[in-house]
Amino acid sequence: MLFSSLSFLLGFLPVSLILYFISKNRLYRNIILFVLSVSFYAWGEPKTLWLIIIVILFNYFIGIKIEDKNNKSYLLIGIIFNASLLFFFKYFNFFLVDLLQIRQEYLNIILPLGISFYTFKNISYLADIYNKKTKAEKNLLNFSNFVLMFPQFIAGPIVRYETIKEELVDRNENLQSFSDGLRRFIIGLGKKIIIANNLAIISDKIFYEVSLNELTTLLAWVGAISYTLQIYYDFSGYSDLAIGIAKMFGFNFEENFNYPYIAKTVQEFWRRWHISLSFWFRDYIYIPLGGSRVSTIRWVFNLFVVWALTGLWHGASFTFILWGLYFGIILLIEKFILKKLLKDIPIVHQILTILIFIIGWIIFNSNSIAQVLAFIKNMFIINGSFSLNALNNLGILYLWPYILIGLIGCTPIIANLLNKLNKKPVTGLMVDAYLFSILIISLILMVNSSYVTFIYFKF
Amino acid sequence: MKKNIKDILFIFITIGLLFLLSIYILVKPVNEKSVEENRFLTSFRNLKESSFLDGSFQKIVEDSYTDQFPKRSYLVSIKKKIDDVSKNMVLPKMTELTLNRVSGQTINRLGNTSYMINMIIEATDINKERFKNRALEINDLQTRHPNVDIFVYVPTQAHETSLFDKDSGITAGAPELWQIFEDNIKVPFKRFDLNSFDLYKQAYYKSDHHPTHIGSDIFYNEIMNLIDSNIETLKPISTDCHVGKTFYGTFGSRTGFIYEPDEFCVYHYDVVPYDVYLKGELAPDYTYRKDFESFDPKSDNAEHPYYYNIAYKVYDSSEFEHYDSLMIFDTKRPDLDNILVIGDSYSSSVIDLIASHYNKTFRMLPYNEVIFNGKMFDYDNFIIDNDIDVVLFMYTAENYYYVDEWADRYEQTRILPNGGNK
Repeated sequence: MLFSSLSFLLGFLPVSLILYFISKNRLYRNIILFVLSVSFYAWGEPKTLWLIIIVILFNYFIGIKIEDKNNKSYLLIGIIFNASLLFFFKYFNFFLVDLLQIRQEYLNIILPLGISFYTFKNISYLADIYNKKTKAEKNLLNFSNFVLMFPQFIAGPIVRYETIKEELVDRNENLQSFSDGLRRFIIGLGKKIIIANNLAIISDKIFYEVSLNELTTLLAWVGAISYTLQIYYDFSGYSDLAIGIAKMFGFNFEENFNYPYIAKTVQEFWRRWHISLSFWFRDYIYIPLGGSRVSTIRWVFNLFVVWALTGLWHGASFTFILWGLYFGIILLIEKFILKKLLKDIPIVHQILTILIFIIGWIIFNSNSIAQVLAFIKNMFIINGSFSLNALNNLGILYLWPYILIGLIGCTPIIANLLNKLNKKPVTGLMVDAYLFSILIISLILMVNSSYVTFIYFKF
Repeated sequence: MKKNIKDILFIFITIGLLFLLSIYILVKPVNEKSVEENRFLTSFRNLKESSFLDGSFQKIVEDSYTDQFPKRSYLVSIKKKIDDVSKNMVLPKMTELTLNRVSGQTINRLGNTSYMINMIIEATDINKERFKNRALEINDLQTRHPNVDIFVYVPTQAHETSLFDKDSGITAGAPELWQIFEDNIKVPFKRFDLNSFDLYKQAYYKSDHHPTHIGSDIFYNEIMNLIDSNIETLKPISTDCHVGKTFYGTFGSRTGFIYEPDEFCVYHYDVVPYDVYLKGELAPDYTYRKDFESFDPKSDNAEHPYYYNIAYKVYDSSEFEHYDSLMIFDTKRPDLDNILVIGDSYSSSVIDLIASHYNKTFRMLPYNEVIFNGKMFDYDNFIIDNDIDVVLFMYTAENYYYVDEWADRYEQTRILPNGGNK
């Protein structure tokens, strides 16, 4: 079930709120939350429900074992178990067929929903226990809610146990947090339904329906910008939805996006984009490898390991690995050359950063290296007409307002304005009216649109 | 206003709206059909046939919320109107003969009008070869059956013409393809001369590729004149215009431009009485076409529940819920000839009129012979077995070249000796 579906909005959410808030007892509420989360998971993939139950039980017991024995072997067993499941379900076919070419055909393996997210969450939980950053959760219900809680289960953010351990036991669901969560939820809904879904129509047409020899400079730029905006609104919208719903139930997740497209450097971009994932790689891969406090060669090695894994985490294909390595190389160049070269002209560095992540998203969304090269070539070598008829012929010209809204909305301009308006009661009502109109428009578009899945859904 | 009150107000209104919508969708009378899309809507009633494990339960619930949403069609039309306004804000003013592509690669609107047509046919090498082959196949059929009179009539559609070449800066391929066909065909052949936009507007619907009652009447008269220039054709005795009763053609439903539906008229003729046979059995009486006002578009006829068949003036086996390639119209006048009409939906629009001039009229949709019966139509044996005197090919250009995601229409309509059987 998608948060952006009518069945969630008009079915699951109202039922969840009634069931949850009808009970005053904390234990009952936690049980209800668990039942809701199981239902939410089963709705999407009833056939793999057994897997998540095994994952929960295994990590629950191994976590206690790690704490009791403080033995690295248990940590390794835990990591190997979680990583093996991820490897089998997500990468087995890629390694056997594409990489090693041992098999000719893919095995029919269903990728369980949210496996990339809950695997990382569980590994961080076990590592934190071993490193004595946290204690193992002794209450199976609380631990199950940590792993399975429906707002964050399928597509993150990668919530760490440390962040919500107290709220799993007791939390303060109040009017303020509920209304703030609801507002955040509507913002996420608008990002996903109004902007991302419409931009997806543009980028899908240009990336997947225009042949490489029909690509022009106009189409390449429109496609690249649309996808750049689409993936931001899609994923950050989903994070807003997750954070908003969690807040309605009294949980406070950490932010996952912080206007990444206003970053002045590539390094800063990655501190603003999918923050929970970036920090996970920093804390559980990069720093254990030695981080930057090692020799330059070792540091370069560490960097490439992290970025190859980052790419691979996003998907089992060569283009994702290339995408990860691309950012590894860019960060090296930025550290050793660009930072010095462009120290006095930050605006050039910022423009370059924008170009770098746009090209990065082209790599991310392309089917082949040839497609990547065709896009880059057409973007920077003028080719073909700039007539809007080309966009009209693809049936996407009517979507231009969404690009405009997307460009404005990926900066803090609107958020700052809303915050300013929110400070006064009367103008605050205008903000609520604006949010309500986003809900209405989203409902209209949901009725209009066919079923569109989240881009990040199976990562 | 206190923050608390503001928060309560916001929660009350937004959550209240979601609750109300949720309850309303569950308790309101079920909308069973979508007139605009010509399809059955999903509702929670369908859950009886579903399974949670295979995901069909979830799919029905998801679809039910969307399909049963209050004022669904109205909301879709609002969205389309906004989209249209957005596009026209940045698009230079167009003439009505400029192709204005919608819905990806498949449909063009004409300028900013409500008229829509198919994508322009291209004169590719494969298309040239196919048009030539079709002519040669028909010639061969004539050679194998010298005592049968064979005719070819083509109900030309807008996307086969050069009407849009100048304003759209294109060169339509169909004129060249038809010239190849004409250069090779040896039996009497005629194409509807669709030479002006005004004629197009009379002969075709805005939201559909099928002919209006005027277009059908033109086709009928041209066909009968092609077969026999001295023949006296039937004239309409009355016109039944259904103002306010709209229908949404296939273009409308595919593009979502459902806020611009078509209105339609139907000519009535004094046709010779006939019986219709399907699969060797007498078909039930089909009177509602004659009594339009009693026709309930939302309850009659499962497959085509709406105004399509009446608006198209189509006789189709599916109207009798018999899915077959062959319909036989029998006027029981053995002194007259028997005719075999090889057609598609366009031929269905004139079939009862043609039947008035013959003893038996066999209407065959050769692609349906492949789809429903799994074999190519065997022209040779059919002509002999049914004592056919006249064969009329009356289908659209699509049968001469067309390939889409569903089928290769050209291959399905090949005219092979003995249906390709050795």
